[in-house]
Amino acid sequence: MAQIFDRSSNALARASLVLTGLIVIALGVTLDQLQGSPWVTKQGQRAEQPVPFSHKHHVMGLGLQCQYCHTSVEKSSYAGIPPTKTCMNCHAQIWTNAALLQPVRTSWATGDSIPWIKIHDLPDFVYFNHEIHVNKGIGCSSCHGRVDMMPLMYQQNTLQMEWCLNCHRDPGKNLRPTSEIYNMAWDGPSRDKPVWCGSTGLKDGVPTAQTVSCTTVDPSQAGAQVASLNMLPDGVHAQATSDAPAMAIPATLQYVKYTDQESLGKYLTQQYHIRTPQELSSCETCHR
Amino acid sequence: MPLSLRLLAAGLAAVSCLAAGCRQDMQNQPKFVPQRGTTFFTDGRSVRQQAVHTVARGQLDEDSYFYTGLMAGKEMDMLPFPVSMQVLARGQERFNIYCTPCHSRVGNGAGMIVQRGYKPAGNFHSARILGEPLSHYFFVMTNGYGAMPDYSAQLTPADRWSVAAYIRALQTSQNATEADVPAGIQVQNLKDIAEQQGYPESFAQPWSLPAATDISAEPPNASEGTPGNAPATGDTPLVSAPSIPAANGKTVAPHGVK
Repeated sequence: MAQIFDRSSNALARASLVLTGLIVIALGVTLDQLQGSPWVTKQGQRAEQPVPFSHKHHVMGLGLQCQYCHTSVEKSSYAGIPPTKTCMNCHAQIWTNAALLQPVRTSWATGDSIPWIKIHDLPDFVYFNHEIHVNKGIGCSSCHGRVDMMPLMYQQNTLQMEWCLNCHRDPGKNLRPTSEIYNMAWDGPSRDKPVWCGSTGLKDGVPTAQTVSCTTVDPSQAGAQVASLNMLPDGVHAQATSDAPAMAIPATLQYVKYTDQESLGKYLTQQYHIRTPQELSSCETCHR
Repeated sequence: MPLSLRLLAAGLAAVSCLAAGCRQDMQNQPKFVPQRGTTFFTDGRSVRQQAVHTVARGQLDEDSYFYTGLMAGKEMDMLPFPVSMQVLARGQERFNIYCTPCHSRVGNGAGMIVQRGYKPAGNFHSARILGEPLSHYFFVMTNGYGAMPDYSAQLTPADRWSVAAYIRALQTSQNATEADVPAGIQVQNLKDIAEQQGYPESFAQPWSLPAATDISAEPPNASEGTPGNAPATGDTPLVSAPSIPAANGKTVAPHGVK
């Protein structure tokens, strides 16, 4: 009886085995790349909002603070989209006849909400709380990026679980002094831009944020007011000063100089009582 | 079409269908979260507004000086709680967030929003405002004043008092003498410092607003109009709000317009 398969089929069979393996691998790689791509995460997509609100203009151009609009960020789980009244605080008199602002005026007149499109939308099975992050040393820009440079709002990071865990497994690398939370230009201490921190010794009945005092001007030098007049040499970007007051700094406060994020992160982790990576990356921290 | 490509396409289709299915059921659960709309109520709000003429628990606070800034209907020159450095620091932080856009960091009423065309804000160092009792500032923050809207939603009563206390500190700072600082602390004139640093003499001077305050970053264009310099809501409502016919046939005053 003649063979069904020619001898050359052997090579074909082996080749198809190899090919099947390759296909499985390729499929895995493709799907992995796909689920982290902006197509799925919506990173960088500018949604068509009712009003093309520019954070860049309002924050960088006019110097409005984050909390001027996002009032509940320090005391609630959500930062809060401002009511129309906040818009009208200024736009009752400024750009009163701009066509772009018609939805705002309509909302103000009728009482209907402006249907803003949510950009940073976490799945409903994730528990996220702004309050604990901004009060324990995670700045706005760590997650939202340079919002003060975004003419139209978009999502900077993936907001996927892997991204969350990246920080929860090692929070020290993103911690900053609580006085610098709303500082968009903050990029951590370095040799050129050291940070001095000291414990105020206040413990009972004081929020964690007030137990540490940090400054970007050398506390051993004369007053901070004089220092702010001194321009740094060209090429060295001054650490943008924050709006938080220097608090009631006891004159005897012992300041330690930090020139890298690792040592500052270690110090702040301890001072802010940040939980251990094991606790922070356990399932029930975010899925409760 | 090679087998591999066909497999890949089939796999992709299956996974994207799965993903789409998951998103609807788990990612967007049918529950109310802050500021998420709903179809359940006709106004589309999941958070319900407080019914009129009701007082919620913990809200019965209208009579106290702490909540109104008025004692027997009059503004008083005192703080309802002792002032401390922490109160002033809190006041400074809140002032810098909510007040500086118009009143500026030094409280001279020439903030950025005023420079862009808003009605000039009060100068805390003018004789009239210097003469106001402390709770006047609290009262203005709570109820608004002239062109200024109220900030009662942004600032809690305790924060408003802290800001009022900080305004007093700010006023003192602009007229301080060497006798006001503890002995042994080096005092230097800002003008001298500016001179040493090579800044012009005007650096440490009070700055004034240009005569016309309708400055804009970009030149006006026809389709968008020019920055308005219209009067605020309040005395003369700027927003010509259309009356909304209510369900029972009566017209009701539009929300937010007095």
